[in-house]
Amino acid sequence: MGTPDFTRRNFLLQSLAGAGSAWLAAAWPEALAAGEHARHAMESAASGAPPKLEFLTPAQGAVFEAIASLIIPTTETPGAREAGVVYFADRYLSLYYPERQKPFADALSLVDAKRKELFPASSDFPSLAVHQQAEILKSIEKTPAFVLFRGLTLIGFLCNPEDGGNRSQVGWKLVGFEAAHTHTPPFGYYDAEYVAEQNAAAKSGEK
Amino acid sequence: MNRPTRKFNPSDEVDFAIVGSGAAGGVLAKELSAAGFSVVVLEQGPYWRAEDFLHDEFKTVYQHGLTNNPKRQPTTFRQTESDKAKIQPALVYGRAVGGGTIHFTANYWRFHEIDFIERSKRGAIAGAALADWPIKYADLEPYYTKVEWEIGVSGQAGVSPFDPPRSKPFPMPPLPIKSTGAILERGARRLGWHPFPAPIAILSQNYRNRAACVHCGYCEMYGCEVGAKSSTLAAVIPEAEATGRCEIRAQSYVHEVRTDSSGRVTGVAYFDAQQQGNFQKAKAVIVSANGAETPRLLLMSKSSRFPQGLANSSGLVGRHLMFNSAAVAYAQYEHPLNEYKSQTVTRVIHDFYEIDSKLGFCGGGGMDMRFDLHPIAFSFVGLPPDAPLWGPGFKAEIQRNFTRTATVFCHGTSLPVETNSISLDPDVVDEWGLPAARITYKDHPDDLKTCKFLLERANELIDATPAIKKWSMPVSEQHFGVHLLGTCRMGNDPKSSVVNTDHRAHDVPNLFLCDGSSLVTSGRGQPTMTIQALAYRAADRIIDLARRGDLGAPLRSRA
Repeated sequence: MGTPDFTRRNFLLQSLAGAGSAWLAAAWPEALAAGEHARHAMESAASGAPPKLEFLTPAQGAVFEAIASLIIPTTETPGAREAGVVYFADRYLSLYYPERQKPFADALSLVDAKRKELFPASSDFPSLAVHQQAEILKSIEKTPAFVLFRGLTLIGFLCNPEDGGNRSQVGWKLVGFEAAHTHTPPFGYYDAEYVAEQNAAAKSGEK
Repeated sequence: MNRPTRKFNPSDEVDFAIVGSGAAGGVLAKELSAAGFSVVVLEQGPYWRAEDFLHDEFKTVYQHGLTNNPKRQPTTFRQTESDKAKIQPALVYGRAVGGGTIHFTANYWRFHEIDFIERSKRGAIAGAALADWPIKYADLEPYYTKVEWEIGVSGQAGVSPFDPPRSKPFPMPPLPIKSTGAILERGARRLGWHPFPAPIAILSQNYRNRAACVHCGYCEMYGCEVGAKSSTLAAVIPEAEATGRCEIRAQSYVHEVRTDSSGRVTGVAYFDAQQQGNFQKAKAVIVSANGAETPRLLLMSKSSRFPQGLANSSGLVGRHLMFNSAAVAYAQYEHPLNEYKSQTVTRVIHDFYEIDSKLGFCGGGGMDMRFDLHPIAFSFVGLPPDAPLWGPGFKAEIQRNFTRTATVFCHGTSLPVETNSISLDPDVVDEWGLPAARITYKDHPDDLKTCKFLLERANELIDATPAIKKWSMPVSEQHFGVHLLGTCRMGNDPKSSVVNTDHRAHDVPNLFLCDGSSLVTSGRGQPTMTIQALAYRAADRIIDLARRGDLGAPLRSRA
């Protein structure tokens, strides 16, 4: 992610504008279509039907989900798997960035080639032990494939749930982002402390 | 929402066609229509209403919900004129009714007196085309005040000893302090500096039938869903439409300002929402399309009479591009700051607005403290360089630090350099078949020195606060701009400037240019306030000229 000489603003804004990173543009109508898609998925989830992948094959989905849960593992708190990151990736590749489908397929092929190289007796990635999966991921850490997997995982974990990931806001809850339409001061520890001191000073001034 | 909206036919010759509805275009539309003139505003982007804006980082920020989409409108970039430019996103501008005022952070410092006279004060700077403005701070002061009261700016006068003189206090008090503001204020005081409450174009109180900020935290890069951010969409465009003399024509992409054989502007050619060609007739045209799109439009408006592009006898259209320099230092704290709540900035430092000339470079800056990364962006660029990229360690880092991270953001000068420019790319076209904007940009060495100086001060500041960890990115050359300034600079001499002090093109009597392109210097990083002050001043000048019949064919005010 980024070149050694990036300034943070350049990096951020380039990533916002879609430069250099995987997050190239799509038009607003497509965004709305994706919202629709996500709503349908949520409706089907509410109706008790399990969400299903519409673009990725179950095998591809299983490999990506295993990788995503190496990146943000399930610990005492939910991780990428519980956030439904794979469903975000499914939508991302079908609706927003169809031009990333080929790089994504190539990235999965790279993982499979590494698996065969490092664990020739294995049958597929998801059935490997977690430490073996991690060894494979470690071996591709410097590749565009890793950047793509990591990017999809992060966005899918922390996006608005309407975009298809971050189910039950597990990502937002983990980082402490409280989704509310309004907030009231004090917002954090240091402004609360500041205001309390100001009030105390004003009170002692009155005496 | 029901609004009285006037519709004109493109064949109706309106008094003014205004290209762009942002910081300047929105203000001009309101002032000219209120003065009795008929106005059509042609805006590239769509007409979103406050209720359309989303709390959705992926859609709004990563899908270019409110800004130019580099997929549909590619740009090219190179550092010097001898390089071949490559396709890469090199600028962001607001592409919606309201322009950049929809998604801006709303920092509303005024420029200081020095910004208008720095050339006289500092002398020539090698490698820079530094010039004094043809107007001074005192000429603009009444209009700065007008901005504050017309659109609604929160702030507290009289706290900063570096503030230029002002004729009136702010119309409303500052927004509530956040943790970064409290941390900055205490740290800066410890260092003997002079922090002050940030002037912000967001309402701290209900004002003129608009609701105060509800602190939802979706400000920078987002549209305000309650209309508390003082965008032109919220503050002045409804008033323009209410005159019954102003049409905001969205999704209208102007690609040529046309002229007749006498060299006068006759109107603007544009693509409508269906990408069909149209022509809006007008007695006069004002281009307020931003510091990139304004020169691009003039350069696209070539004719046999204006072979170098319209209003470009000086050859300076598109030149002297200034981005403002920037540097950022990060810090982590023990307790939660929760900076994702409320608007972005609450305290500012101007102690280094003018850096001591004895240090051997020309520049200055302002500093604030903020954390403007929503969760997705935070997970990409908000952690220290030694944090793990994945696994349980990465998870623990994002869990702990999203609410506990702050940045000191330094905003600095960009000196005007003639070779830094917007031009037309000879090879690349956009989705409409129009030549892409080609950006040529290499920071003046003094700009990088300014940034390094400011970054050192930022780290001193962090050291004076209870930070438990700090880091920063090295200062580097910019390849990307969000502030697009100086490309049709104002001046008295038609050989060294593009517009005069009335914002009238030196070469064309009924063409005006008013936006970031008019700026002669970059200020210290927060240009929108000054763009709007210029727009209010330009409106007075243009109304006066029009009423005097000085635009050629007399325009009849119906007010």
